[in-house]
Formats: sequence, C-alpha cells, structure tokens
Amino acid sequence: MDFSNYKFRCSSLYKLMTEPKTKEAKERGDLSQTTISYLQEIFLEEKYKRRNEFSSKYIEKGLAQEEQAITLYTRAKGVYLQKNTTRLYNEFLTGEPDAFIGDQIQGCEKGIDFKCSWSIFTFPFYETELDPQYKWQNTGYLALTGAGEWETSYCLVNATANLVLNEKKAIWYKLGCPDEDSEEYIKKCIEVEKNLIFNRADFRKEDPGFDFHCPVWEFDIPLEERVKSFATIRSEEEIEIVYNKVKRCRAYLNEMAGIKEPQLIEA
Amino acid sequence: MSTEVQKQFSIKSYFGSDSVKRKFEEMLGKRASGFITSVLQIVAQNKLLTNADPNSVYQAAAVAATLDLPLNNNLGFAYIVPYNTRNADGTFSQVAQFQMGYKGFIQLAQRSGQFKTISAAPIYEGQLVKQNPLTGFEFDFETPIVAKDAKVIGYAAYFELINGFQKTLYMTVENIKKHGGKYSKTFNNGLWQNDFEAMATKTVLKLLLSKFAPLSVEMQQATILDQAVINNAETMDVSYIDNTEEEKDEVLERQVMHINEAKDLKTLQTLKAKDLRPELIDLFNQREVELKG
Repeated sequence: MDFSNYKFRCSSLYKLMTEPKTKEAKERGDLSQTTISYLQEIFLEEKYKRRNEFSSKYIEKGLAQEEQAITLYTRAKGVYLQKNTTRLYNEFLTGEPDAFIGDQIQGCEKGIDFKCSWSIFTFPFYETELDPQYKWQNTGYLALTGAGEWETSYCLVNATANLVLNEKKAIWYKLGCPDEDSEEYIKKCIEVEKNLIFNRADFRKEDPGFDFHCPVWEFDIPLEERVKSFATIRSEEEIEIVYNKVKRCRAYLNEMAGIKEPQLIEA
Repeated sequence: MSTEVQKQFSIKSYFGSDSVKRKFEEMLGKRASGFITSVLQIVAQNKLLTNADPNSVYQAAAVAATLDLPLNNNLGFAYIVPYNTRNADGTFSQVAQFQMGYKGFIQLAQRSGQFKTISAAPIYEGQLVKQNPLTGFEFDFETPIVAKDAKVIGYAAYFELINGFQKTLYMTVENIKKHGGKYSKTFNNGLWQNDFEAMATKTVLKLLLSKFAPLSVEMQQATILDQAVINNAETMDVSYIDNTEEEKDEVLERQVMHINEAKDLKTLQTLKAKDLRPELIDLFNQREVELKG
C-alpha cells in the first residue's frame, strides 16, 4: 500500500486540519488525535477493502433534500443555481460539490454547499461565523474548482412524508402501540409535523394525500428565513496549508504501511 | 428477540389493539377474529410482510374485509403482497399491497347477480381457431390436451350476462408479459414468477371486465384497489406503486418557479438560455416581456 498519491475528501478535510490540543504538540508539528484516528480509519479501509459507512436520519435527510435545498436557495435568493453532478479531483483532493453559479464548475463564479438542518433547533439562526469544519471543506472546493468564493448554505426544507411518517411510527412504538386517536399520540404527532414541516403548501404539493394530525396550521416559516449562508473567500495561503497537511498525512499513512518517507516527516 | 420477531410482534400488537379489532368487527361481525388470525398467519409466513409497515398491512386487510374476500393464499381470492419500495431519501422500506386474485373477480361478478357465466382459461397451442379483435375469438376445446409439454400460447376470459350480452378477450403470453412488465413492479418476483398462470388469468379477466362488463360498486372498488398500497381503505385513498414510474423532474419544477417568481430581469436572467428547458422557452420569453414592461 502506497499512500503517496492518496486524495482526501473535501468533506473530511476538517479531520485533517484539526490542531493538536497542546502548544508543544502544535510547535512540534504533531498530528492531532482526531487526525490520527481518521488516518487509522483510512488505513483500515484500504488494507481490508472495507468502507466505514455511517448513516443516520439526519444524514439521510440531507441527502434526500439536496434538490429541495437548491430550489429553496433559487427562490429565496433569486439566483438560478446549477446542480453539480461531477466528482472533481486534483493532485491532493477529491470532492463532489453541490451546486454552482456560472457556465461550468471549473472556474465557476461561486459555489454552494448545502446543509439541511433537521429542525429549527439545529439551524444556525444566531451564528455569525461558519463552523470551521465547513470552512475547510469550502477551501477544498475552492482548490478543486478555481472559484473565487464558496458558500455554505444552511436550509430548512420540509422533511419527506416518509421521514415524517417514520418519526410518527417511532413515537407510536415508543408509546406502546396506543390507539390512533390517543390524545398523547396525536399531540406528539403534531409536534413532529411542526418540527419537520416548514411550509405546509409545499409539503402538500409533494404528497397531496398526507394525513395531517395538526388541525390548524399556522407554522410556516417565511422562505427567506429558511436559508442562511456563510461565505469562504478564496485564499491561496489557506489552500497551501491544506496541501501541506495532505502531504504530512500521506507520509503518516505510508509510515503505517511501512513505507518510510523521512523527507516529509517533521521533526 | 430478533428484529423480525419484534416486527411481527408489532403487527400482532397492531391487530390486537381495540380500535383495529372494533373496525374488523364492524365489517365482518363474528367472523372478525378468524379473519384477523388469517392475516396474522399470512404475515408470519412471509418474511418481507413481517417487515412491512403495520398500517399498510391493516389497510390491505381492511379492503379484503370490505369486499368480503377471504385472505388465504391457497384459495386465491385476494392476497396481501409485500413490496420493497425505495423512498425519496434513497432508503428502502416495505409496504403491503392489496392484490385481487382472478377467483376474487369471479366471486364479485357472481355476487352482482348480473352474470350468467364468467370464466378464464389458458389457451394451448392448436386451440385458437380464429381471432378477430372486433368480432371475437373462436377456440377448439374439444381436442383434449394430452401432451405433458403442451405449450400455453395465451389466456382467454369470457363472460355472458343475464341479458345475453357476451364478450371474450384473448391475450397472447407475450402480450400478458409485456403488460405485466409495464404495469407491475413486482413482475420480476412474487406472484408473477411464482404463479404466472394465476396472474395471467387475472390480467386477462380484469381487462375484460373493466372494459366490457357492467361493474357493481364492489367490482369498481376491487378494480381501483387491486395492486395498490392502501393509505385509507374507507376513503379509497391509494398509492399505485406499480404505476408510478415517472420520477419528478426537479429541474423543470425549479425553472418554472424561478421564472414565475423572478421579480426583475436580472434575477430572471440568472437562468441562462443554455440551461433553459426547451419547453419553457415561451414561458421565459413571456416573463421577460412582462418584466421589461
């Protein structure tokens, strides 16, 4: 196994870029424990040809709602976005960005990465700065595309009817399979609808036959309040920092594989 | 307890709840508990049904109860069939689908009191004497089929009403397979593969009845609810998983919304001509004129 040309995923860059906790370790140029754990995972994946797949309802929602997020952004910001369907590679990185503005992804004016929040309580209404993990992901996309700006846009899009039903079903089991007209069950189902649906008309359009528990709906959130964007501006210096860290991590992986590359190992 | 046992237990709990029992009692009276037992037996015998959404099993069973058709695979009047459906979010889940058997259609036709005769049968090589889709078909059933490898070339259904009206429909095996492949997503597995003859007979009979027969209320219900996932048996709210092959065109919808909602030319024109769907060119041009004005 030779990791000298291993390309890291932009979505995982934050794991590479995490700094060690102590000042001394930082000064020595040590890799952080987070980075080492991630590299160990990559090593295992490559050695045993298995992938550590992780999935949760939150991730599933994000994947399922990407199209809706693009539509929401287009409507809220009045800018027509192009959905990207190409996986990109350069010497160090790989990634598949969500959407962009411009004729083509390479050299596009601006790119957008979407994060679909599960509910209003995970939506960054009051945040003023982008979560650093997404900043590194954006830096990776900037490096891959040559774009000048990359945005992380958090979106509140309706959950699919299936997700809402799954939540209701989970509650039903949790409550010990009560009668469907049980007051407690209905109350909890209404909460689910309020938490996962942000525009009832749009939800109805997707699933006209959906049986709502909530009798009177007055919980729509205005379109423009359902998108919050944070921009990362292109910085050649930061891209260089990423590339250097990639080189450092490749060397670590090669050390694990027994291939020594002393010229890349910091003292 | 394994997950399957847990799920089966959940379906059992579902059917054991007072509200469900009450509903079956309203439909079937004293036969309700026997009917529920037969449903639970079908579920227990089918691993995929064990995993299905209990409500979809309940709704499918409720339809069978409404039509007063026993759910017993050996009898072949009606079935509850599991269906592995891909959700919009890419995950899979199992739902139960209600399916009529050809004997179920015959049963309903008999009950309507309007039919003198109704039947369906496979047609072997040499039995089809004459075929004219307008005036009818002629079969020779006199010559007995003795060869073990006698080839079935098609299926025919026939009915005669009390008032004398009669009609025959014949479909070749090829046509039936084409029909099944087009309209049933379970064509490559389940009943189509396990019991082709029953499904082929049903197909030709159902098409004959739905095209030419006077349909009683029950028969209309059966035609609508056959091969559907029943969302609500009482309101006839159903989803035809077998016929929903067209995927939603998100890009087209997005472009329509963008054009209709653009408040100024600058916004509208962020949708470039090269990306615009041809069918929306007129809509785009019209909106451009409006915004210029």
